[in-house]
Amino acid sequence: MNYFDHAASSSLYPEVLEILLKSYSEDFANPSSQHILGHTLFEKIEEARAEFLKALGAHKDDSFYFTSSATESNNTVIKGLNFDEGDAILYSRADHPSLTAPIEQIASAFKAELKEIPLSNDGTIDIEKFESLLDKNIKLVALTHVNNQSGVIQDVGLLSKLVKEKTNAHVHVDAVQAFGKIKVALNPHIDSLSMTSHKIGGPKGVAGLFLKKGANVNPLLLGGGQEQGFRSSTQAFPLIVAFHKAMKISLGNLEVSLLKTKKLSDLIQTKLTQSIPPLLSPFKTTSPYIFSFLLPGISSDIILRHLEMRDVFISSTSACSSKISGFNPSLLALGIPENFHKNFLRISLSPVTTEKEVENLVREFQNVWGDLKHLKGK
Amino acid sequence: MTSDLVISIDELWLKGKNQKSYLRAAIDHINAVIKSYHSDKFSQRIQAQRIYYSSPTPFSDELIKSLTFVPGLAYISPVTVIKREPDYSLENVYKTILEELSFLESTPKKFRANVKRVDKQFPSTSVNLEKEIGHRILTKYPLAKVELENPELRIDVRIFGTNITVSTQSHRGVGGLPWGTSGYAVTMLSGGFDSPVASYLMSKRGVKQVFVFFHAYPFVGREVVTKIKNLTSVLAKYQRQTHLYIVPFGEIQNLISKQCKEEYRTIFFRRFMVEISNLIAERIKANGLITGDSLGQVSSQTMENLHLMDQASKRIILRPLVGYNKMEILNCATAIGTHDISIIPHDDACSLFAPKNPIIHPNLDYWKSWDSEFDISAELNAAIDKAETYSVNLQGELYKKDFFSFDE
Repeated sequence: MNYFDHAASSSLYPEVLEILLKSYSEDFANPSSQHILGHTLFEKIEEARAEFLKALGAHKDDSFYFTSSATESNNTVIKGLNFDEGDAILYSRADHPSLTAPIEQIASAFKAELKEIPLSNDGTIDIEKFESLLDKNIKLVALTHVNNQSGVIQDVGLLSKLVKEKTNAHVHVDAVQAFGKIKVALNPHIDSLSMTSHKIGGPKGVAGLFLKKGANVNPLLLGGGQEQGFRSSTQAFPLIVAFHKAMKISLGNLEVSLLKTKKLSDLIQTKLTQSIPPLLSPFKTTSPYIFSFLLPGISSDIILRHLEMRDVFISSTSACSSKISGFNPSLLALGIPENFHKNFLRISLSPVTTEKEVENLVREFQNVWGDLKHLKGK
Repeated sequence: MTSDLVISIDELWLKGKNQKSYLRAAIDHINAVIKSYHSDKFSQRIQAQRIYYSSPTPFSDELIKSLTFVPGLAYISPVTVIKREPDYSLENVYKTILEELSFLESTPKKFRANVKRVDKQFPSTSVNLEKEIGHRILTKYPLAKVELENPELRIDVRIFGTNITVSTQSHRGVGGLPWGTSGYAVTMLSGGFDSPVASYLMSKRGVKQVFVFFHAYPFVGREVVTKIKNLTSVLAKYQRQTHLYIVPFGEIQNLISKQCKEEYRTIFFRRFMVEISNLIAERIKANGLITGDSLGQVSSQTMENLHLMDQASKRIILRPLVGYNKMEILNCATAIGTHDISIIPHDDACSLFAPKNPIIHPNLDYWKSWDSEFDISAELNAAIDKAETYSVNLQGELYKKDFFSFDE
């Protein structure tokens, strides 16, 4: 199998699977139980929590919570802030729906003003225009470190600094496609940050939320008071330790993986661009883990299915929104005209992607193109 | 809930010497439906061209509903049987009728009573009995009215030598001819409105069918298959048992489009669909095809293009919608429950392959040149071998098969 949809979900590291299986079989107690079985698990969760904070370069008084998904982490922050009428939210419709949907819901519920973060043609945030939008009314700024569709990296360090210079807004960063893949530089201006396990070789069903000390966010889930009272729910111990392991592997190899992936990604870009003249790659400053492009003339779904027949798996749009036919609001916000939305393709890699897989991808892509190009322009 | 049913057969009077075999086909189908829904034993007898069913436990509403889909049946009527034992009186009959009509207390309805004396020795005349029943209903339920021409309710009483049957509600069946009495056909389903209606109309005329769908994967996705399966589920209720074949057609389509003139693409796709359907018909020993063609609806349905399809087919192509307007088709689709499935959007390969100017007056020499120059019969047979096959029971449930299969 030649899998190039790691930005949607990645395969488990074998070491992670091993821990997961062992833990599912042995660690069945409730970490909140008072007996020694529960207490041991509780302590291991606290150790993992401390290591996540350390990995982020956070202060030990900051908080890190285990959630069920990055969608939950994003919703927790957005719905947990105290909005008043007249507040403004700065966000981008190019971002994942787990940011845009709750933001639009909250804005409508609290009559908050929505301001859209301006993007340049290459997908990066237009810093000058961004600065000009900053005023005292802004209560929340939602940033995405690496866009899940375009792969464009935003300078969240600089952007958050600019926000704090002019406003008291809460700065939230979605680092789902960044954490464990590229260097995520936490700085004192970032108030919260979300990440997930299944994009970095860990299991689905567990994710993380960093919250800076003093950040005024109310819990989303109330109940038994787990996760230091911030996220009630029985803690999914096996998932948490598996996520912890995946984090350690990913960060431990980060630099090496990044170099290797950059080489492979460049190879894909060069070969495909050379052999398929109509291919357009509109984005600059992208993560090497994501290569997105447009192939005008043939619907991307058709290419995707021709590739899957040849055991190559890529993505046409974000897997969460692939049921939406044609028009895609986040692609529009990324500056892609509506008539090209059906021509958008994403190839995404992981540290385990091999040169052999890349060769297969390039060869099969060229074959599919050769088989279909006579239909182009219909 | 009732433990006695009486079923009348449609169009039986039209059949002379064939009457027995038509009746047999209808009974076999009814028995299969009853067995599929009713776990208890049941008995069946034929009297005066009607079929009486009886069981120790009640027949469910679901079963009765299912019988209304069985081709060839005119009416399905739950009945109450009153035995003519020494101590019985006609009062039992009146009481039963009034009890079953208790809804008339709050709902106004127009009714008529129909009494038939199979036992000619019965003392009272049919007319007198009808009058008495009418009188009793009107007295007890002032909202009820007599209507002889177009009644909403028919109160049916039949007097036999040993018992009297009372029926106050009848369910109209689809009518027509029993399943399998008018041949066996391969129905070409698309995801649209037309072909399911065509299938229904031919089911009504007693045509046993299997369904074939040409799946243009990888040019279209899997979603359309779900839609086709759902349509088949609905249409299978008019069949006693059937099969669905999802034939892979994307590669063949691409192969054809590389070879033929662009404006001929659509009719050549259709030609090879017809050829594959014929190959399937050969394998399963069917004698015709069914399509949802309506004359002139789209460019491939001009008289000339339809004629080309006839030439490509070794078997008759039944086109029951040939004279239907779109609105008539949509109304029928709504009535049989396929409309809301057909309306679900799905991607189709048409937009990619559709010629800018599809041919309306095809050149016959060009068409025929393909007979000798373009032999893809191996590919066509291979597509059938690779077809995803489902057997479908009369409840519309699909069961995936490992290989191409069919019923003799």
